[in-house]
Amino acid sequence: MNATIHTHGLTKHFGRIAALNGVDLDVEEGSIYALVGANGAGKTTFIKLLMNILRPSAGEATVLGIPSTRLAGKQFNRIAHVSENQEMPGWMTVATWMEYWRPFYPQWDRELEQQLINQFQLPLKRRLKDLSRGMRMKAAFASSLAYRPALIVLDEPFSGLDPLVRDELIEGLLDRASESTIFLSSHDLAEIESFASHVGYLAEGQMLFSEEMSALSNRFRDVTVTLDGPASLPANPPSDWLQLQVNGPVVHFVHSGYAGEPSEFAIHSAFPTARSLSFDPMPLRSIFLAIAKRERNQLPAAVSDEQQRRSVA
Amino acid sequence: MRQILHIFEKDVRRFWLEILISLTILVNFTWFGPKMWRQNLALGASLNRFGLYGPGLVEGLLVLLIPISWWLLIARVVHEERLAGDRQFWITRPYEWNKLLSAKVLLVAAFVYLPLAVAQWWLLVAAGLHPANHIGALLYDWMLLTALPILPIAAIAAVTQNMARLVLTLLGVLMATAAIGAIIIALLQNGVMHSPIDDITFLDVPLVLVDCSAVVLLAYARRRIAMGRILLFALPVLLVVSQAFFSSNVMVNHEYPEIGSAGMQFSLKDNALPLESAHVAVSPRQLYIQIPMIANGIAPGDLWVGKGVRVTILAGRQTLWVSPWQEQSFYLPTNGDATLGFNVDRAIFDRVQPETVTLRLEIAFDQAHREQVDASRISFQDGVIPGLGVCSSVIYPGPSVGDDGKPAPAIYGLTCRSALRDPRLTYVETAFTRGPCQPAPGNGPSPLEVQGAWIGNLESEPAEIGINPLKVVPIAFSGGWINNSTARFAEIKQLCPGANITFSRYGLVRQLRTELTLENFRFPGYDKREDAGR
Repeated sequence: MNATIHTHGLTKHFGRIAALNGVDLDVEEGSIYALVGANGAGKTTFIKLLMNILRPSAGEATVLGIPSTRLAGKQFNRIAHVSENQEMPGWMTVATWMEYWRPFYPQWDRELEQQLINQFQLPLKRRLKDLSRGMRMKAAFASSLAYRPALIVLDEPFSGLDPLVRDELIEGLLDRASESTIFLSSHDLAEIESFASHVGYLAEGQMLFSEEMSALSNRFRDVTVTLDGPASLPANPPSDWLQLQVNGPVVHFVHSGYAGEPSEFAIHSAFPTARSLSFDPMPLRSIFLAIAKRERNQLPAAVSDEQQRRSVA
Repeated sequence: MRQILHIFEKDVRRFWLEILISLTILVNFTWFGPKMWRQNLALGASLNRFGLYGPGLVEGLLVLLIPISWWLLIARVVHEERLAGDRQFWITRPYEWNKLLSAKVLLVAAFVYLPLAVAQWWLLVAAGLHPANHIGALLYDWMLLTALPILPIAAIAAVTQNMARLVLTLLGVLMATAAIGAIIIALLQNGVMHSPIDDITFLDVPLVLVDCSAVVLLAYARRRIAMGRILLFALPVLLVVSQAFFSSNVMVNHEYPEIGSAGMQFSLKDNALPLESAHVAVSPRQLYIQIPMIANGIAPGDLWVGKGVRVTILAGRQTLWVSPWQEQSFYLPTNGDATLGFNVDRAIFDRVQPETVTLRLEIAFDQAHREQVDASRISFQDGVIPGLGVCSSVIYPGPSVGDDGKPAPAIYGLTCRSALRDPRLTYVETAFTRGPCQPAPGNGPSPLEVQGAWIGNLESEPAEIGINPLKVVPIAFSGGWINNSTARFAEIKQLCPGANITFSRYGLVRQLRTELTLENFRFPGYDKREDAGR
């Protein structure tokens, strides 16, 4: 497997606080990888470590085969990095901004630049400081996509944007997806669900899982078991049954390791009086809520072996 | 190179206003400069290189504004791609640190150093000096300007995020310097003495250059901002500590290593013990003691300059007190008298005054020798004096009336302009005329009064720090007039055109220390009532 991003034991401490704690991750070339997690989970720190904006306290990361701590200068010819809170020189007009970056990138594509300007409807004569937040992000996107980077790293790129702008940016991004690996962070699950190919979940500085989006959707099911009589829970339910709830004759839980018939057989074995079973696919948001609630009830280090095995890495 | 020029071009577009302001101030200064020293010539007033004490208020203001405009420009240019922080637009772009730094250096070179060089060149030419003869001094001056206003501000800008933090950091560094300096002076020097050597440029300039360069390089090459800040705040500590340790004993021992007298005898005048007087209270804690001395054995053409003294008071073999080195400034061009003055702690004085003690004096001398004598004649025109600069007559309306019925111009003194530093030590001698230069028929020639004056110093530095490359040096003849109002009422005394004037230039031969032990020395008493009134 060809990993565009690889991290091993990546750790970052700010004083006594561990912002990241031994994160292992591989991002396949050509994937659209969404790193999700609540605010303060360590997503931005992770990206800053990848981009050599911060130095790791321990562990290592490579980006496009280059150790992140050596990432500088010309190596950024192939990398685009856009962050929601990135400062921009407000005195520049959009035209000046695009013009300024051209000589930095030998592979800058003037046609693509024009196409992006048109696509994003960028006002060339306006100063960056006079643009709306959405327009500024568009300008940042345009200046980052026009040189056809091999890796696009986006830190909360759609945060606070109206849906229209967000869709325009996603559309612009997806147009480049065939030639780039895209790595983005977000705390908004809905916005990445439609286009991410891989997803990783970061909580309190730890990577809880990392896998293909389709595999994640396939293995999570909202399970409802209806029994003939009042239900009672098994003494030792499997660890991949989350949020077990009993309501009269109905048992409800999230199955995090659904595998078709073997899973149905296991449920029947646990509930011999089951009259009916239903397995409903879950939206990403519900999946993450289930995981988050489970993690809240466990120690942070308790990342299951199964999840580790299933990780994209 | 392409990236350097690209960033440079962007910065010029961005900071055209700051550049314009800086250049405008410099152009004004360059335009005002010659006007001011010509005006000062007419007024006969002194003007130091920073123009702060003379009437050149405008010039002085401009000289203050120039470094401020540089600071503003440099700080803004560095902050444009600021190094502190993690949200800058450029840090994940293909900027190469050495090219970014080179672009910033290029901008400072183009809009600080180059205009400065042109301005200084023009001012030297306007003053009648040849800049090509002073290239080394100009380079040295630029190095000093780099060490003082330019590189430190670049270093502070490199480790700060914005102008407000830059100002706060600057204030912090200055306050730290003042506080540490006060503590160390209080601890090491007891808050009193002066060093005979106040110029330790050889140490603090390299310290500033190395430290600030390290801060800038760490910030640009590695973005090690925290380390840079530590180095920045370590600088005042290093400077003050080096001052404390090197400005006194160590420095004198280093600069005046040789012990001897080279045939010159410096001794107590007439063996005048006990001293009859000669003390002045300088503070509640100190007394100033003066001892009459005499010098013999000074070779013709030699000059001995007393630079410092260190006093040891002994009772028998027991050392009661050793002073730090204290500054002296007396000239001995021939055998003759001199007065040695030094401070003594009042507590020590009160303790030893009733008794006789042994006084050991170590005296630091510069031995100089006359290297060149240039003869010239007083004229209304400027005259070039080799090794000194250009000298002009100070001209006022004189007591006689010209053909047009107006007061005829008269020469009452001389002022010289030298390049970048005080001239080499020079003795200027001429004869003033008491009375009219051309006496009325029947009257005899007006009597002459020979007067001399020392100007310059024996320092070896090629330049003193300054934006203005001109050093205006009025020659302070002891009896010459420099005050127009006095001239109207006092006896006429002037320099007549055609009068001889000589410039004897001295060069340093060696620096040495002599030792003198005065046995059975007793400090003179002092009038405590008089002292109490001080």
